[in-house]
Amino acid sequence: MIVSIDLILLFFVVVIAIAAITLRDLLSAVILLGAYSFLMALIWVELQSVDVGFTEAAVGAGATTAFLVATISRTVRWEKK
Amino acid sequence: MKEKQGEGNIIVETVARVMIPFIQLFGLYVITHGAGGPGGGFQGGVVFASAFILYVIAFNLTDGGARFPESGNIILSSLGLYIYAGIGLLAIFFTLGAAQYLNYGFIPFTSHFEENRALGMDFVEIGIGITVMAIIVSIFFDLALKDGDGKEEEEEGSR
Amino acid sequence: MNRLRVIALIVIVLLCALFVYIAEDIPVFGDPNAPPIKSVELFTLEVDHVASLMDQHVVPEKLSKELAKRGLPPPSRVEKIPGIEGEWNAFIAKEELHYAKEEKYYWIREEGDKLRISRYAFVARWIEKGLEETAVTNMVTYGLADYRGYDTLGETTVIFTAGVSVILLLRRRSRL
Repeated sequence: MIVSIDLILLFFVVVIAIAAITLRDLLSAVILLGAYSFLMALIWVELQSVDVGFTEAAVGAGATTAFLVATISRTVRWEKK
Repeated sequence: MKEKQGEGNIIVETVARVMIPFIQLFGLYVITHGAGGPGGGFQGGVVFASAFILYVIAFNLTDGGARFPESGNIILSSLGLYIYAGIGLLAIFFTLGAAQYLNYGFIPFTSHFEENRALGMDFVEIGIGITVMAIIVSIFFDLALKDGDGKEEEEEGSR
Repeated sequence: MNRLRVIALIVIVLLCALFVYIAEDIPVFGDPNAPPIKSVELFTLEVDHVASLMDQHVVPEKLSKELAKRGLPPPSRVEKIPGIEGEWNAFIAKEELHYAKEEKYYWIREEGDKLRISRYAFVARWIEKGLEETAVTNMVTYGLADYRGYDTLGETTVIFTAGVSVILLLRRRSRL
């Protein structure tokens, strides 16, 4: 567990989360959420809880992204003003 | 946004055809290897389901639906839960009510109490994996598939 | 179709009876024989006339020396268990190990002229005894599927319920 690596990863997580909120393109927001989950998985592995990191990578970056992309393919892609 | 039914990208199809068996093998490995390393039923089930999702995305949507029909889907999803609850009940049945529910040590798989517990945990993980796999594939199909099959096509969302 | 409904009703009633039976089987909270509450026995110590010393909240020097030799956290104070003669709780100080606050840690009993020292925490038992109790090397797995099996059963039921509700709400095709 190295604090500086944790801080860098957490900084990226916050930046990606804010970007995902502010975007109006929902598909891009979903892909950013996938990146968010991947970085969270890295943080979990860095904190030495490999099982949680595995779950985060499988569910957050894999299944949830697929669900949200499928939902967007059935609805609209752009957020209305 | 409109995906074309019936014709796919050859690169995507080839890569999917190569990758899907390995993803499924990795999912099974994660489920059965949960006792010795990171992993378990939940993660393995999700990995196994993602192989089906990749198949559905790369090939035809309705084709994938035929490969994994909904009637089998709902049976599988409840079968996993029944496996879990049934393993717990076996402990009661084999000791005629003396042992507690989900106390795997009293199920006579082998002669050792501790190994019985380990084997009971493995079967429970298999049950969790089956349930999670079927449920995630089912949710993805319900979200992604259209009505189709000659009925009236519903209006595509305007941009 | 009607006969199917009757059969389903009978199955549901049987399952309900079974679940009531199972729910009776959950260990009672505070049951001393329930596995999570048992303690891990550490060692015994030959100590004479420290009982009166420990009744006055003083940690015997021999005890803390023995604990330090085994790499265990030193106790900060000792308290008599009310109502029971010859049994004490030892507390560890605030910033010790992974505990954020002062915690009851050791359980000391007097048997004849010996002191029997045990450790309370379930976490310690989880880490130290898990492999020999369950023959599984992954700490997370035996916690998830064995020690907290009821928890995981409920978790799986939640996932199943989520899938069924998505089927009921979003499935638009007639065939099922």
